[in-house]
Amino acid sequence: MRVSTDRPGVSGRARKPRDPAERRIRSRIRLLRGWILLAALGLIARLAYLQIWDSPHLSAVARQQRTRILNLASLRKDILDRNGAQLAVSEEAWSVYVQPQDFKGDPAQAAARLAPLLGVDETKLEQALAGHHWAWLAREEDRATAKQVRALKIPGIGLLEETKRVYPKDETAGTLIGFVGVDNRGLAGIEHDFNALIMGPPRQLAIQVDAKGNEILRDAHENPLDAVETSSGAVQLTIDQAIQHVAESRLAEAIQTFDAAHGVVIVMNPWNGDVLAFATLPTYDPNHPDLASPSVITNWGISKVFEPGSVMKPFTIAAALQVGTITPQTVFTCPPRLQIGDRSIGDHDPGPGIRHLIPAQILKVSSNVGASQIGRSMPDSVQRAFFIKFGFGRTTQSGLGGESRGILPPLPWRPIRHATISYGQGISVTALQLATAECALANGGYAVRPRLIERILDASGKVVQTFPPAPMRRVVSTRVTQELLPMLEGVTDPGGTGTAARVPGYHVAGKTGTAQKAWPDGRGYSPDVVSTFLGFVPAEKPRIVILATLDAPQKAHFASETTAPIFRDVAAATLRILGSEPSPTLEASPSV
Amino acid sequence: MAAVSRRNAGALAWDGPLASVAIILAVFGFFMVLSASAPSAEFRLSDGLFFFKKQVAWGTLGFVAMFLGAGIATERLRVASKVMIGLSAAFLAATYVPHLGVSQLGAARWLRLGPMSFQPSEFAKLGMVMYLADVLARKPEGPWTRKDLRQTVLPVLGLLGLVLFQPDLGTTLILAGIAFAMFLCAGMPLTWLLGGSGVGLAAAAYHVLHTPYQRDRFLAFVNPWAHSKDIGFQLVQSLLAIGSGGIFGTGWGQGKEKLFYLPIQHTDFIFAVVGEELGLIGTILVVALFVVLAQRGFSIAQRARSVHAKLLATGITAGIVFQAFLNIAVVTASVPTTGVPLPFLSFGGTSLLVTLFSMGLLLGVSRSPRTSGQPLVHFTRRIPSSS
Repeated sequence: MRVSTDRPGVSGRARKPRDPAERRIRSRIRLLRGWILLAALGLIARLAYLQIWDSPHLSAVARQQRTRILNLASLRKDILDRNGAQLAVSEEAWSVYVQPQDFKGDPAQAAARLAPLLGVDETKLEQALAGHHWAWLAREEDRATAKQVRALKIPGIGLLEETKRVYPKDETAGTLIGFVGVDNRGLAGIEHDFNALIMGPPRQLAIQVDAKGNEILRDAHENPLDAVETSSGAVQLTIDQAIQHVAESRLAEAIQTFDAAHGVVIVMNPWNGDVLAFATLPTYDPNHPDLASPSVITNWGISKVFEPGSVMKPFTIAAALQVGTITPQTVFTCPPRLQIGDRSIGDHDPGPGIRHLIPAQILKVSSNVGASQIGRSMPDSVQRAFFIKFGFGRTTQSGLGGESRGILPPLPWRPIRHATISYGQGISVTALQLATAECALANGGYAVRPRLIERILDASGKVVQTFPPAPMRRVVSTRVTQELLPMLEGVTDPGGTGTAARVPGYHVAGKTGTAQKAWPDGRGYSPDVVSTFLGFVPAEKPRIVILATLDAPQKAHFASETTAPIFRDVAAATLRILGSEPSPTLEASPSV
Repeated sequence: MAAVSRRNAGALAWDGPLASVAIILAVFGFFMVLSASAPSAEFRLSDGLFFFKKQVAWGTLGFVAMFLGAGIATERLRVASKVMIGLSAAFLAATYVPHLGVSQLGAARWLRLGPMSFQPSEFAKLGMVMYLADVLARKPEGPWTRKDLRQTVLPVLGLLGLVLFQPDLGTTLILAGIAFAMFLCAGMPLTWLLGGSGVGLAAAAYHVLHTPYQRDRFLAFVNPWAHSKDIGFQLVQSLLAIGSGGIFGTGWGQGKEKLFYLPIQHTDFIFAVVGEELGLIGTILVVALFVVLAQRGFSIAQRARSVHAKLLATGITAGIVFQAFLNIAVVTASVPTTGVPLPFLSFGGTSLLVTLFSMGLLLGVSRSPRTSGQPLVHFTRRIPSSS
């Protein structure tokens, strides 16, 4: 019997010692053995419960406990034109900060090393470094700078990856698109007005931390940003970057030529309200909004109201045709000046003596006297109701911020006011209101809503949201627009005020307007004018409505000289860009 | 001839499985201490290996002590038994003396001796086993007299009191458990034992409910999740660690709970790190190793030639295994928290040294069947018949 044998108890038990003390000790040790085994089984059962049954729950709680969600700067969606050209994109950028608790070095010395890299004033840096609070040292530095800062290895100096908004087309559509602040929120233009659409979903990064809040070291091959969306899709505008460019360059040329204060050119698709170009000048480079004056950041085309002048006449005529107080053949007796109460109104180019004019002729020579009579053939309430239907006196609901409603005087209109409103004085509108209203004349009588956002794409280019055109509401009947069309075409015929707007190969419908500009205090009129040409082309099957406005041109006043040529050039280029064949027979499709 | 050959074989042969289990557990403990303590050691002491190195040093010393202990003739230990319990009581009493006793976490459990500090309560476990084995073996057969009780129960109660008021409820329980096993083995009537246990448990319950931190521990045990931010924090973190391990564990060194979530991760709660990193496989392996230790230890007790050796083997075995299971039960929230380390695995020099030395004594019992000074009559009768 070897002592170290594995089964000594067997031989022991086999011998059944007689001694009661020995038997008792043996049995009691067996008892202890049994208890130990029972306890071991109990513990194993408990462990199996915890590590098999309860394990999913416990590991989830543990994981949750050590998981921290970092909120990363939300990625803004790119802004694209209708053909996918980039108007605004987000690029990675690094911001540099100081964490005072960790910064132990000499502020002056650190500032001297950082200043040349960051291009920030050394004393400013020193102040920030010597402060007791967390502070930015520089924002939106590029990757190379970030690398150099990191290489300095100054404790307490940190880098945070952010995104920086870049506008590849610089000034193109600058005012329309706007810009963002360093915190990536839109501050002006579409960037601001549609911020909610453009902001990507909030981005979060889950990291694992120890109980002291330090991130648990990762494997070298693991990149935490793999889990984070780095592209958040795009917002596609209805704007066509090429048309926008044409509109802006042509407008810039006109502003220079005529020494105007401002200018607006809007190109719209009359059938769905798509804004193809919205040029406002002067503008600014959204890459450097700090250099821009507040006046150019504001979108002049929606926020500033002006008296439109004669471009209102077609709307007056349309209303009168619709209610039947006139027909295209109604003849109006037009003296050079028309006395209304104690005031008189006159035409800018009165013919010799009394003229007898039908509506087409009134439009062609832009007779204020004739338009007044057409307007006054209706009650003021009726004319006002039509103007509201055309979109005057209320916002266009384009979604752009800061839209003015314009000024449509409340009823009742005194006779002289009724007369002047009929030819566009004593009423104030925005450029976008005019262009939008013109769409109804072009598309057979339906009011549209300007549309700027076409759709939203995800990171892979898949369409995730579309913004269909608003349903069109009828304003006037197709009969009226058909009756009005020859009159508007007549404006650009030889002898009309808009001959300079003729586009070779197309029939052009439109109207000039040269409105006197009221003094800002409202007391009387200044020598300055607002010159506008508002029309559509091709006349029979319109594809585009174009508004061109110059504010206070000095070298020439009349729209026939200033804005009609802008219309012509922008229309010709746009039709070319849209692929419309220059064909006098005009068989082009009515929709873009 | 047969007797001589047995004697020679016995002089050379240890209980191999038991020695293996002891060495495996201790070496396994080195690696678990390394994994569990590295982050906090790196953070607090800028030396991730600090506790690992200390544990290996104490373990090495412990292995030497185990060899030496195995070489001591079991019967010789009886000479030292009274000295041992006297020293135990003296050391424990010294912890109450200012400047000598070192308080940690509100309990004066440490004694500083020059450059070293050690835990008298660890020493007291061995002291009590040696003393009880000696005096209980002397008790003549027959009913228990008052003198028997005075010689056996009184010193035990004295030791328990000294440890309890350190305060160290965990070690008190261990000492009580060892005493229970040894009295049981020594033939104390079961009714007395159960009655004594009942009184003891009632006293412990009274103590728990009237000691604020003990009451908190009890409430935390009843529902750790309701107190997961304060008194239940440790227990909840322990459960999270064990549960996170699942069946296979996260892998050695890969545990996350030890990153400052799990308190005292390298001492009393090291089993939770085992659970997280090695999973159910690892935890069952640890339990199984202690079961093997228990089986071998009790086998040695059964085979031992003298009552003294039987009692000594029973006391050592029961003490280590009871403490291990109590620790695992605490870490798995199966019983209210009592701060006892896991033998072999938890960081702690005194504990490891004393445990390994005790294993040495146990191995000594196993390899010296014939050195007993008071061979039981039936043993001497039996042995010739077996060859």
